[in-house]
Amino acid sequence: MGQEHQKAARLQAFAGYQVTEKMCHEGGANPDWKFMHCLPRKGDEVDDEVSLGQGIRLRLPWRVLDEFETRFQKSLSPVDGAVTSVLLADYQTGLVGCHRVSFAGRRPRAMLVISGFARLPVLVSADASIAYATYYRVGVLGFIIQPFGPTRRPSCGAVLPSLSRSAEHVRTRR
Amino acid sequence: MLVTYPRLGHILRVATPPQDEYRAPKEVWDRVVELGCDKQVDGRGGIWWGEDPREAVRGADVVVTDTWYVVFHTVVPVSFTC
Repeated sequence: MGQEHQKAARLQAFAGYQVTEKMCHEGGANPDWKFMHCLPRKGDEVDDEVSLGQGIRLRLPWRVLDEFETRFQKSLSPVDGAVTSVLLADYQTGLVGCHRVSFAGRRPRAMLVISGFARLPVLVSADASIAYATYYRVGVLGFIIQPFGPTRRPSCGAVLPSLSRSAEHVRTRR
Repeated sequence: MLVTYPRLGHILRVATPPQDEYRAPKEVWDRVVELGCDKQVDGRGGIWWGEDPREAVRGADVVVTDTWYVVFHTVVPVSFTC
């Protein structure tokens, strides 16, 4: 169908466009630059150092993310900031999306894994999350899995309200 | 991004390969020009578009990219905002 050919052509055309710490440093980005990606990540366009190191911020309206973080901070207050990292796991390339919530710059000690994008078996997301946790040596507090049917790719806007309900669920179970 | 960020005052810097297929479609760019998104106003907004990603990230607060190819749809090429 020519798709493989297209992929090869794209990879060639975009050679040198991979987002890396080195490239952003050389280009003179703000030292505190943040990386965003709308997911799923393929891996060619950003290297692991950036995507695993600083995490991926979903390219979503800020208002949505703000609300998202606020709800999490509120609903997870029983653990008193122990959850300092929220991972949005994706299915396609293993560890894909990560939105880290940083509390006063402290290193995450535990994280809550939210898989809102799993349309393949959730174990793929779980695997990715464990890989992330191992990488950062943080504990996994729990999983919130949002399984979706194979044909339904949810938009992020559709995912977030259900995520916050799930967070409530976790709190009440504790 | 092209027709919204500049209107919010963000400076948008985009780097793509030189081929036409990686530039904004004509109808999109016409809309950009119609809205004046390509021009800076009082040092705010505006769009820079070039080929060198290093140049694109100069002064960037946020760096955005997207996947370069997808199986069934056309791709949104790499782009950077600041």
